[in-house]
Parts: sequence; structure tokens; C-alpha cells
Amino acid sequence: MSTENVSYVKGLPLRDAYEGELVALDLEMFSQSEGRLHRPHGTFACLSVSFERGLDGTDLAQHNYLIEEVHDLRELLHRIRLGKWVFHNAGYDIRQLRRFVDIPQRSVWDTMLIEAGLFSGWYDSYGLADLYRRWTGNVISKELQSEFGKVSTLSDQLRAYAIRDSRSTLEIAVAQNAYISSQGFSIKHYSLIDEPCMWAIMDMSPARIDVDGWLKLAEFHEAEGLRIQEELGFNVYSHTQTKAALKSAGIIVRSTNRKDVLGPTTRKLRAEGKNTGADYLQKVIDARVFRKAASTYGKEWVDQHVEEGGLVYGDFWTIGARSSRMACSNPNLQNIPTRELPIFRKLFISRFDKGVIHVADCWQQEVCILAWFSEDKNLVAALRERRDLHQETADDFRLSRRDGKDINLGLGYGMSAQGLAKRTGISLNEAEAGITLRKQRYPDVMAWGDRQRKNAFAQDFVETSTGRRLWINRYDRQWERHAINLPIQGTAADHTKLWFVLCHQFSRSERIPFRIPLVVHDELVADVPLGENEQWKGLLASTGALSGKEVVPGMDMSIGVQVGESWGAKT
Amino acid sequence: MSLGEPRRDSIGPSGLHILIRRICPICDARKLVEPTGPVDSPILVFGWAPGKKEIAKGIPWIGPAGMVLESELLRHGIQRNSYRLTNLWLHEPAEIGTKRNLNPLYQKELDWHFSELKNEFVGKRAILIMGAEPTHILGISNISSVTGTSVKSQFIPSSVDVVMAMVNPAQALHDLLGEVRLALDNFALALHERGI
Repeated sequence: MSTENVSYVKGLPLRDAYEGELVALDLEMFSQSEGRLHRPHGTFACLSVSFERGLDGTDLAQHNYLIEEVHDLRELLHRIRLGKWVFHNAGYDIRQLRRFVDIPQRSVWDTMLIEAGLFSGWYDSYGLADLYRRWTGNVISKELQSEFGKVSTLSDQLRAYAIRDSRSTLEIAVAQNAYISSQGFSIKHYSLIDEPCMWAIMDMSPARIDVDGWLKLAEFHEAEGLRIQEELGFNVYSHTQTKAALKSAGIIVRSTNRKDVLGPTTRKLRAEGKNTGADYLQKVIDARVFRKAASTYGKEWVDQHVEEGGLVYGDFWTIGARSSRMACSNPNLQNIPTRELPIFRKLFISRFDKGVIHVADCWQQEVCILAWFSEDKNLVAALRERRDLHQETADDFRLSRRDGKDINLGLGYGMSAQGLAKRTGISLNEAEAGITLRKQRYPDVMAWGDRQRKNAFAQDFVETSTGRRLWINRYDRQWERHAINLPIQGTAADHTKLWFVLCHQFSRSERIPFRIPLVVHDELVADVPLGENEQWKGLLASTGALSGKEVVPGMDMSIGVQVGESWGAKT
Repeated sequence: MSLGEPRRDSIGPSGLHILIRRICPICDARKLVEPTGPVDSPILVFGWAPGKKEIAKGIPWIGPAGMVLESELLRHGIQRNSYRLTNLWLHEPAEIGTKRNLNPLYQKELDWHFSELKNEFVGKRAILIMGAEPTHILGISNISSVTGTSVKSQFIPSSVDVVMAMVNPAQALHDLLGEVRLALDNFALALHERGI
């Protein structure tokens, strides 16, 4: 079926949707700007509607409508109440439609979310035109999309464009349905996690920052970065100058990449007792960190992203990474450099008078998942005994606990002795000895890794515990590492997302507002007013454990909740 | 060897085949990396330009991207020796120069290489265009919006049954595999459907 010159009727549908009939909806708004699409602005242009079946319900004749009046929306949604609503990026459409009409949570088919759930790691573009091309072999142009941002009335060309989009969305949904049926696999991850996560995201509360503190911190970072740089006497962002300066200080580095080279080299120098060199290198790192923090998280960031009352509304996405983790943009609240500069956490504060911030995270989330997958008796026992595995690993390699944590995750992901030596600054011999010790201690972990690699090569994908496929590219040099780390990271993502979803469901059933402004890796952050404190503390802990029971049955995923004045409650 | 003379293989003193490589008749300097595969194959697959390895060996698509192409087509039983394989440029692309200082030879060189390519179109039933640059030269829109689909070009005879464009297979080496796999699956399917 071609979507060229799709016919349509202006106004409300001529019949109600049948039960379970696919009904595609596509909203167009005037005067919206890119980067702010998650915030309410712009004016209603039209809603195009495409029915799966013809007027008499028996054929596939085109059956499309264009709603141009806001006051028709309520009646439209009533007429299609029995159908299965299809959107491409439902999060956008529903969020905007909710400005005009009440839309309670219901089951929807989001072609973009379904696609991302089916093909994580296989494709990296999930626009409507991309999906239409892949599923139908035909091309649709999205060039007219930007016109809606420039005009305030509909032309026939824009009407045709809008109708074509809902029709294309419908065709994609039909094709996806057929594919899923033909493959015979379940999309439990969509119905259990991704779709409800999309609704929960729409109900997220804003984060609040201490704006004065933020600006003062930016000034401090700027001054401190420049001070250290002046002390060093060269531009720390210049590769040539940095390399030359380090060389004259007796430190030879192959590149000046902070994470991969300068950090490990500093640790290596420190381990060798060469503290003067390590201190010098640390200054280079510090100057870079401060300057970067000042330029990225300075006044411009505040001007661009902070709304009245110090509120920040991140645009969270249900699936934003290869592992299917959530992502965030405009601004990216998951990428604030809290590890290097923990002070940033203290600037995320409650928006309620005498309110508190709850920071909940899962104890050794990825290690627990590795134990669940590998069924390694020693690892499972160690976790049951709640031994500090990061410290044990640190002791194996004679490194700090922080390094021990990195190594545990890295080795779980198939990091080689060479990679480990490079990352931590220990010698290759030490790395090999440590790995051998670990192999002896956790033999089934290694055996599981071998099976993962074999399966991944045979079928081009690996699976999370919920059956979500994460695709592997056999031509990628890192494919073996991905074969091991993606199931763990993907399952961790599923656990965190389901935890978030359950919090949302429980808050709805308890009729308390959804208080979560931040989801960052394995952490959920709740901003709670006085009076809901105990309720939320219990809610966060119980839902995290419940999510664990669903995602990794039999594995105890215990949740720690810390409460304080800011996100800094957990450091 | 005279300029523009067709490639010949000859037997050297050691008894090994020696590849006699033509020199580009326009720049009069660079050795050409000429098409491989049977001239009378109904299938032509081409990209933009040979890489370092291809230039050194004088054979197109023998680097990592060529390995991706070869093994992905082999999944459908399409062997490398069954299709004609080349690039639009038969040596590294000429420098275009700057807006103010255009290389006067660029267009002349491009025209010659393009005409060599067009000669390859003759008698073909299926053509696969790989990469953004050759797609652009053939007047086809943005490669990412058409990859894996049938396309039309005024430069390709209407007698060709299958004309498809795709992203450069090298994409699979540093990015994801999906688009490359999909396009080559679609191409193989189109060949199968038309009995090519």
C-alpha cells in the first residue's frame, strides 16, 4: 500500500473503532522549537487518524480523518476508545494532547518504542521515515515537518503530510505485529516495562536545583581551572602542549585522553611511589575537569534549562542506549559529573518546604545479575553472605575499593588482562595473576561468558532476563565484550525501569503524586514533601525488591534508601 | 604501456602472474584499481574509491569493508566471483581544491572515471551503489533516507531491473550492522525475485 495521496475526511470519524482495531494517531503542532518538545508550548495544528479497517470493517480500504478543531478531540478519543491506539513516539503526542484533553493511562502501540525494543544494538535511528523504509521498502520525506514550526495555519500540503504520517504509522504497526507473530517471541519487555515506563516518564516531577549555589560553583570551577592551568603554564586542552609539558616532567604518554591514559598513568605513578609525577598529572586532570564543568554546567546551562523556581525538566527516554537503558536530554540529567565532582549532587534539592530527597539504589546490581545468569555457586554464596566483593577484588589486585568495583564490572564484561592493566595502571603480570585467581574462585562466571560469546556469534543477539533482544555486530572489534556485558547491562536496565514503573503504579494506586525527578543508572531519586517521608521510603525499597523478583527471580536485589536535604544524601 | 590501455595479466620470469596496471590517463600519475569479477556478470556492485590496501594490491574491495560485503552477500550464497565489483574512482579521489582555488583537473578526472563506470552499466541487470558519495554523484537523495531501497538515476539505463543504494558496508566496522545487513538482504532478495 502506498501512502502517496492518501484520501481523508476532515472532522470526526464516521464510525467508532472496533475492539482491538489498530487506530494510528499523529499530532502536529505549530510553532514548536526543537529541544523543547517535551515541554508544553506551541499551538494545536491537527491530529490525523488512520483506521486499520475500512468503513464496513471488513476490508483494508483507506479510512483516514483529520481533526483540525481542538474541541473535537474529546469526542474523537471517545469514538476510538475500544481500538488499540498506535503512535510513533507516543510520549510526545500524549504529553502534548494532555494539554487539551484528559488521557488516562492505557495500553498503546508505540511503533518507535516497539522498534527500539526489538532492535536495540541493530539500528540506531528510529524516526518514522526510517521505520517506514525498513518495513515497507519505500521512502517518505520528512522535509515538510519543519514547516509546522514556521506557520500557524494548515495548507493542503501540510494536511496531506499529516495524514500520510498517521497512515505510515499504521502500516508500520501492522508490519511489526506480523513480524512479532512470525518470530514467535514475546514482547513482554514492552508490555511489562517499556510502555508503562513511557507513561511514568510523562508523570515525572521536575528536579529542583539551588540556582545561586550552581552559579557560584560554576564561578569557582572556572577560577580554579584557570588557576591550576596558570600554575602549570600551558593550555591543558592542547594535546601538543600537554604532551610536551608531561615529557619535560619525565612522563611519557601515548595520548592525553583523560579517562583512558592520564587517569591510569596517575594511578600507576602513585603505585610506583612516584608521587611528584602523579601530583603533576593530577593537576592536569583537575584543571580539565574544572574547566569542563565550568563551560558545560555554567550560566548558559542555567539560562537554557532552568525554569521558574529553579525547576529543571529533563527529557527522559524509555530506551536511549544500546543496553536499553533510559536516557535523558535537554538537559541530560544523567550525565552531571557527580562522580568527579560530587558537590553537584548537593545542588539538587527539594522543591517542597521542609521536603527531603530520597536516594535509592540497588546493592551490587550488576554483580547480582551476573550471579543470576552464570549461577556461579561461589558468587551467589558471596552475595548471600553480603560480602564486600569489590573490596575482595581490590585486595586480589592490591588496589583501592573503587578500582575493585571497576574491575568487578569490567571482568564481568570480559575485560582482558591487557585492558585491566591499561585501565588500572597495574602490570600485565599482576593483572593476569588476579584474573587467574578470579577464574578459580568463580569458574561458572567464565563458563557463562564463553557460552554467551558462542550464542551471540550464532544468532547475532543476546537476551536480557526478560527476553529483550540486544543485537551484536560481529564486525565490531568489541563484539565479544558486548556479548557478555549487554545481557547484564540490559537486565540491569530492565530492573531499574521496572522498579521505576512499579513506583509509578503504586503511587497511583495509593493516590499520592509521583515524586521521582531523576533516574540515574541504578538510582531512583524521589523529592518528597513532609508527611510522605515514610511512605516513600517504604515504597522505594519494596518496589525495588519486587522488580528484582520479576526480573531475576530467586536473586535478592536489596535496595538501600538514603534520605537527606539533597541528592547528596548519597555520596 | 600506453595510457588508457586495458589491463592485462602477463607471466613474469618466475612464472607468476604479474598484474600490469594502467595509469590514469587524466592525472597521468596514479595506477588504477580496476573492476574485478566477470565482465559478463549481470550484477554490478560499486562504491566510491579504493582504500590504501586496495591501491597497494590493485584489487578493489579487499579491505575490511570488502570483507563485510563479501561475507554478508555470501550469507545468501552470492559468491564474490559471481558479481562485478568496482568503485566510481579507480584510484584515490582527486583533490577538489577550495572554492577559490578549484583543482582544474578535478572535473575532468571525475568525468573520465565516471565514464569508465558508466561503461560497466552496459548489459547489467542489477546494480548496487554503496556509500553516500557515489549515490550523490548519481543524483540520488541522501543515502541514509534511501538505503536498502530501489532508487532511480538518470545515469543508469532503464533496462537495469534492480538499482539499489546502501550505506557503505564499512559502517558495520565502526557502527551498527542493521542497515548494512538489511540493504544486502534486500538486494539479494531482489536478485532472487527476478531470477538474477
